[in-house]
Amino acid sequence: MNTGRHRSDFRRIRRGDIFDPLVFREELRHLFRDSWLFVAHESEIVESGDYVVRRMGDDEVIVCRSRGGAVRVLLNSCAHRGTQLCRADRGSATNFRCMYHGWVYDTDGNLRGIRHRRLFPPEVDPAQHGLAAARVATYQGLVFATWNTDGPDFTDWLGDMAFYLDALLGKSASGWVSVGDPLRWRTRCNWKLSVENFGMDSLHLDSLHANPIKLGVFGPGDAKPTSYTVTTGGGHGVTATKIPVDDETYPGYPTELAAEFSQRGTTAQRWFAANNIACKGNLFPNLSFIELVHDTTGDPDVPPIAAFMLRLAQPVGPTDTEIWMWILVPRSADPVWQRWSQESLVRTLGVSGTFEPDDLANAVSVSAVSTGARASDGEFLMFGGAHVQPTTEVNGHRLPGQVHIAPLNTEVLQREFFREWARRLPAIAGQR
Amino acid sequence: MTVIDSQGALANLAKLARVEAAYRHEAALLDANRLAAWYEWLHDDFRYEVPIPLTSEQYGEPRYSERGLLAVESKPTIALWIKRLSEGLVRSAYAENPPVRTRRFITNVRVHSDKAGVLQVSSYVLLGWNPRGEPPTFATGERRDVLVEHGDRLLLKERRVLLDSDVVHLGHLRIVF
Repeated sequence: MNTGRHRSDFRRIRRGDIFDPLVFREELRHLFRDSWLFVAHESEIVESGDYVVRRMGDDEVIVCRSRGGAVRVLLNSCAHRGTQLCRADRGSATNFRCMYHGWVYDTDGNLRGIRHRRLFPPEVDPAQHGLAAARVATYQGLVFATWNTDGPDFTDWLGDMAFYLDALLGKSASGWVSVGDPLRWRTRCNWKLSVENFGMDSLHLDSLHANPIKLGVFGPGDAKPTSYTVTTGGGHGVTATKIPVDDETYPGYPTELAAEFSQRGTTAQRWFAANNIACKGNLFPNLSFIELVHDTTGDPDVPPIAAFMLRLAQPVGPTDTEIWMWILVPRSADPVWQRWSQESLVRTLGVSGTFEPDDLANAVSVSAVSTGARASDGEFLMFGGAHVQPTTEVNGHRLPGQVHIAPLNTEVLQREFFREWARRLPAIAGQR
Repeated sequence: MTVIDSQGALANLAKLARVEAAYRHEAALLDANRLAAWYEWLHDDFRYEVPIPLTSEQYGEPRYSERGLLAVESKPTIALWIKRLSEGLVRSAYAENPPVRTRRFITNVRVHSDKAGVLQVSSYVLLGWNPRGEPPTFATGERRDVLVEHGDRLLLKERRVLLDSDVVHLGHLRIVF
């Protein structure tokens, strides 16, 4: 495999490497197995025994609130002979019982009962046969897990991105809640391209999304925003697109919430979180997020409204990805406002929206014509913003990471993402 | 008695035939991408919802998320769909243009109640989706509608679409079931 002529700067990526089935297998084995992966929002598992079933790469896991109140992430496969323990999307359980031979596990994953115990040798120790348990970390209400027992702690892995997650999610004193259940849809594209499209790329806004923008989803379109794109290492990144106003405002949020937000975080964090028409990013490898303001989605009764969502691009195959979408709202927001915010996102970035279907059409088309024998030898070009010198101080605020200032976010985040992607894949890294 | 029963049965059949005729017309309009013509049969308070299907532990009817929605529309938001596909904008409606061939099959139509000109109707839908160069994809579900008498016409006031697949496998859901 070859990562391109300019291997060190990731301005070019060989197309074949993106879609290579061997690379995909390596991604599952090394990248997804060893990374901290988002699995749930804490508001989905509030009570003891609550669980949801999720995926970590190609493994299915139970994410549950144990009897003791801790969040556990357990392989959804009986330690005896491998049967799936939970076969629903979510539920509540006092224990997990295998339908095959009746082995029973508690909500911490410990094996509590072997049926026909006397038929097994006395030396079989139940303490040695609990469910495989991942390391778990919760941060700002987000639950992450990893199988990597030797890797960095979550906070080390998150690094300077903590500053930005705190700015965006920590501004709500009461935290956030996930509305309803996650939306799910399949698309015929590679997970990496779905991530870069949603969590990183802004160049496509006035071309691929010219239609909804002309419909006024973002207002009259006369704002002259500036984008602050931050790389923090580890493949993570975030970009805030700000309107040029002097006051600290939180567009689209109710007055009382905006007042609350203006009391939270450091001065620099408030500067980053305020005055955004859109702020999006990605936690390596595949948890993307966006906060944005919808001027209208067609409902005449709804004012301009802010919305926040999480999006996972789950790998299914080299050209198959399953998208998961969580809609988050401030816990203390008025229920009517929460519903407006939810509905606005469904109508834009949901699978029935004015934006996501166009993104899907694009992503599918890239996969359709980039995997051929000739096309595979070609490259994806990511030069955008390569001439912009990064800084660490903006408007008197010291910001962690490298900040790239431009009228529009370019391809800075993609280069950092693919640098980390290549670093974590032995087959790719060995070529460099 | 027998005469009355027969008349009642005939009235129910006539009612069913009227609803089925409306559904046949509706499916033909949607399959022909005539969204503006379809819009004409929407009640001013039209509400369209596609709840997220959920697999639960409880035996019984399939369950759907209480608050989670895959699609939610009203008459004004559908008007935005039509504007999106208008002559000046349709070239940039990349999800719908070029159009995907769809075919809607509506069956098992049941009129559950008819009170004061408000009809509670359920039906099954099978939708075939055929993008360029690809084998067809199918989606099935149940539609639970509220239809309202409006002069000699019926108007669609509510539609709740209970999809059978918990993951959307169509290219997108920017379609009406």
